[in-house]
Amino acid sequence: MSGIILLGAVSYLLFRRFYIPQVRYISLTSDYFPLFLIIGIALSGILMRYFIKVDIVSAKELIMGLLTFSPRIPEGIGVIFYIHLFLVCALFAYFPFSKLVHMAGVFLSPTRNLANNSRMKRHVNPWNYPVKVHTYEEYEDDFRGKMKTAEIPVEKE
Amino acid sequence: MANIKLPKIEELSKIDHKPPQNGWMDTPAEFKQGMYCYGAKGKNLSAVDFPNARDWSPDDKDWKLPENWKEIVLEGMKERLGKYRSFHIFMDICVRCGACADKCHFFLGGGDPKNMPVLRAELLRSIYRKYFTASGKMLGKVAGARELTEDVLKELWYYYYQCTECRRCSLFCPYGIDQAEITMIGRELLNLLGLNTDWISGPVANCFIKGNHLGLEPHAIKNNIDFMLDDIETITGIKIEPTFNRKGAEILFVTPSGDLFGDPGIYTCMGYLMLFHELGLDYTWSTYASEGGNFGFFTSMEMAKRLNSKIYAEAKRLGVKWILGGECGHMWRIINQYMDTWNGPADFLEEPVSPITGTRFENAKATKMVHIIEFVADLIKHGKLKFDPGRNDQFKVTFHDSCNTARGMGIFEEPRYIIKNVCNNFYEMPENTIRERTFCCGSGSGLNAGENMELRMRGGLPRANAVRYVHERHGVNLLANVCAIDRAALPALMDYWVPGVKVAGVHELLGNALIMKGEKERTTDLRGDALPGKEGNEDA
Ligand code: SF4
Ligand code: SF4
Repeated sequence: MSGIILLGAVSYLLFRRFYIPQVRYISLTSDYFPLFLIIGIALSGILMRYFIKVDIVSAKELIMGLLTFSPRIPEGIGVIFYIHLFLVCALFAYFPFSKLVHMAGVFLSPTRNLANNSRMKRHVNPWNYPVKVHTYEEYEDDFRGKMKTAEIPVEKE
Repeated sequence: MANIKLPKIEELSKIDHKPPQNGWMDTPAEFKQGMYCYGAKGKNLSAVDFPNARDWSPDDKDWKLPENWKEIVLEGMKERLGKYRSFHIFMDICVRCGACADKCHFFLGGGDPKNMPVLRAELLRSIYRKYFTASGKMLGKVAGARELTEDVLKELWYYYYQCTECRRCSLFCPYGIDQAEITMIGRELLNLLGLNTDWISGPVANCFIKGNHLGLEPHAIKNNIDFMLDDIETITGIKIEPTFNRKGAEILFVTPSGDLFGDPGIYTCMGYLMLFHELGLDYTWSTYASEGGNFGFFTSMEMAKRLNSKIYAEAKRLGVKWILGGECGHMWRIINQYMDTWNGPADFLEEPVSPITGTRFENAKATKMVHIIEFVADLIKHGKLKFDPGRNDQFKVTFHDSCNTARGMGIFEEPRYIIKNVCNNFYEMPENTIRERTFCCGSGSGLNAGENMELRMRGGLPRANAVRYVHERHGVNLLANVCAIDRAALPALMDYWVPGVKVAGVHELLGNALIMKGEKERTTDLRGDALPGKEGNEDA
């Protein structure tokens, strides 16, 4: 059952990528790849569970062998299991390099994790550097005459 | 400007949101008249020591770029990827889910797919991938990477000056990717090559030398305010005498120079003058720090800092205790987000305290700068002001949240609170077009020029539609706001899409309603129009 839900969910994601014209327009190969991968995993999983039965005891034997670093290849597991295993491995290997890792971005994004308190609290920028400004003295030098005529106070008479 | 014609309403209302058959990387940008601004003038770039200062036009084939322009852009990108965590993360994390696609007013009103926030970002992201990521270097187009060519640069220019840095897209993005931040960096990179617009670089040069965008010299500022004072005296019978550059005042008042010049900004300014007089506030104007707004911000962070520095410098020179800021949008984005970090600490100032109510503005403890909307809302709360809202009965009012004060800093309630106190008729626009979801005026971030009017009318369409809704339903005839760019930009938008709706700052409405000690019976509002029930007996 869980496999079917997964398949349904991923197919929806794929469908909207094809179907909504704007989303299709912005999509890259890297947007389709993980979807196909996950579809492959779900399909091979479903096949194994309902159609091409795999000897679950031997499969467990294989995995335990791998986990205890003493790999053995038991008899009678069937090709479909290896396809499934390969796809899962591919997903795991791909994960950290792909957009899937953007899940973490939800927490890293500065617009999401910074407090809106910069009027209340001082935040220091480590690379803040002095810039060229037009000082009041320079300004007054430019306009002293006009300021005096308009009766605006000046520093230097 | 004269030869760029704005299409008729019927033509502009036909919007096709379907993207073309060709992939976006294979569709070069087509420069459409009316959708972009004139190029910067050499003299304005050199006034602030900007690189590659020369007269230049986006219509020319040759943009007169420096020999090593590509190197400059890539170096600049590298530097900024290191400096800005936001930029780096935003270059990496988009999953192209499309949630932001139909949230941008320029896409909604124009239909150009490259105005979908996600694609606007991809324009720059594709360059990032090509030169800064392993997969982009190896896989190229498959990984969404592309070469930086002159055409790509032109495309960047075209679309990064079609974003108003309003941040609406960021609100709907599951990752909070803020295209405004990306646009800012994109524009910084373009400015490394002298690729600014005339409409932005002119005010920047003015502001640097003369203290304000409009280039008003000290005596002109005083003259403009004198005109307003005459009008106030005619209307209310009260003579007001504000001070300029006065040392020892308690408060320095800084507002965008748009309030000093032109209709309807000046009416808002008259509201300020009347309010301060009525309170007997010990405050001064400054002709040196005579600009709250900051077009430097639409150029580069450094330029923004150079212009912004005048406010603290002047506060220090005059020895005031704290600073009060007028109605403006991007001015407040800067005060809220950057001012203290750039030009602080403002340790020579005191934590702002309202001299009338004694309220301590703890929310401005670091910047020492209070928004006039907060200041006035506090006055009303303490019952310090008397109003006759009937003097605004000629208006049915709605309120446009400016992107910068709303999304950028979180001011939602104060302006509404004031409006409801000074007006009898107030109607909200639909929920998904106000407060943090507000639609941009379509002319922010230095795009309020004349030659790009089609862009502005398209970008403003979603906002105008919401106004039309309340106009038709409730007869709304006044669009209130707290932003000088809105006051400059929205009248044209209303005249085009929703004729019959005027635009006003909240303090104009306040000025109309404010009961002042010793005033004569008013017969007109601040615009000189007869008050309801007083038609026919004006003396002016
Ligand atoms: S909503 Fe965010 S993640 Fe989705 S396409 Fe837009 S920018 Fe990318
Ligand atoms: S910041 Fe505003 S104008 Fe820019 S892409 Fe996002 S929604 Fe559009």
